[in-house]
Amino acid sequence: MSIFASGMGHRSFLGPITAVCFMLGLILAAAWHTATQISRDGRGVNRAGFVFSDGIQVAVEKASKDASEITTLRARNRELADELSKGNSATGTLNNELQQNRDFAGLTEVTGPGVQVTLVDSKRTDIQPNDPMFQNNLIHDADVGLVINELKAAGAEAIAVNGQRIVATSSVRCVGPVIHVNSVPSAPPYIISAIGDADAMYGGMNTPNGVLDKLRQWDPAMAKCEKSKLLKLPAFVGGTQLRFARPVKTKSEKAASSDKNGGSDKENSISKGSSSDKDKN
Amino acid sequence: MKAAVLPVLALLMGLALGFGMFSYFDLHIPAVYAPYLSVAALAGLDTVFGGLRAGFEGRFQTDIFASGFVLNALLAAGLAWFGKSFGVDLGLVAVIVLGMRIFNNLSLMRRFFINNVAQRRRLAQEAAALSPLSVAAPQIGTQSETSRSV
Repeated sequence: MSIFASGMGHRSFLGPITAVCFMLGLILAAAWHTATQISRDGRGVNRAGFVFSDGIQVAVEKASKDASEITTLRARNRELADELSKGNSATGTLNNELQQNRDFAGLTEVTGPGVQVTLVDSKRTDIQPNDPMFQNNLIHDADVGLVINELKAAGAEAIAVNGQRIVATSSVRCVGPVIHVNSVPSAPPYIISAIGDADAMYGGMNTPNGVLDKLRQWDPAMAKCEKSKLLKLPAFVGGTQLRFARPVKTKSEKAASSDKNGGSDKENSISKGSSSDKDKN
Repeated sequence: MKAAVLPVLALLMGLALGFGMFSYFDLHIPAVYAPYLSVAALAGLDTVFGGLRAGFEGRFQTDIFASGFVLNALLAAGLAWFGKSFGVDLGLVAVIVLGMRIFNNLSLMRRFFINNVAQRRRLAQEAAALSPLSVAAPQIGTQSETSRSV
């Protein structure tokens, strides 16, 4: 016998409740899944799951979708270029050079050994927020910039800050309470991963009176540097089109463009092919 | 007793299926709709507890229950959306009201169960007292009854 038995003439209500419970489970799973996704993306939620800035949310979602699409398309582009250049030594050589340049420019995902620097705001409580010295408690854009600079000096071949690849046009700057890397906001902890000679970079990071040392003098917990055997850095997903800068033409190129009938050998046709390739990219 | 486990099982199955589906097909619900979804889920939870309570009280009506599940969820989500369009967080109103109702229903169900248990115990004691075989039973019973009320 159960305690349900009395006062409950029939159990016919359990059927509908079971059906509705199933649907409720689906809805709860959807809500839960969405909530975890939002928190994993590190996006601000005002309170109790209420997001007020619709426009920003939509734009952020579209941007992240576009970024992943760019990554896939670039990978596909590479496959196609490899396929096209197969069997032909001349186009093969050109393709190799193109892919090397892409790797160098940071347009591809890369893996390798290196170091990982983690910068966090200090939790020192002996200093009041209105004290000018309180600024020392915070990680600033300049700190991140100095670390990147130091890593480059120590031979870093690829650097990323919180998932944003550092390339020639990258910027690191302070906007309100957060730091924008490649104009994408990111919050502490700032994890700066660099691929290169791990020992050299580790040494560079721990230089006495260097950038990390200065942070550690204020609070040892603010800066951490670890060697890593295998890092994976994402590709740069920003634009690569130059709108204003034009390459300076060499003398031979000038001659070739003014006198098209001049050269009739293979090299001329190859250089034409490669220049049209570049235009497409 | 076994039948009472069914809703819980169904809920767990729904959760598992939902999670499986969402992660397997990599479905996304845009973050913009997340608050409406959570408010609707809360409304559904409220309806289920309300239905359970009505069932225990013997006043369960399937049509009221089913329409309540759908309409309350829509109403709560709609209210949240409506409020957002002129800058008042009416979704919070839905959260508070639904939360209160859930607490209310839970406490009523608790009362129902506890009264039920007490009543069954009393009935058992009376039955024991009436039976000529046991003589000591009612004294123990009254003792425990008084200690309970203190």
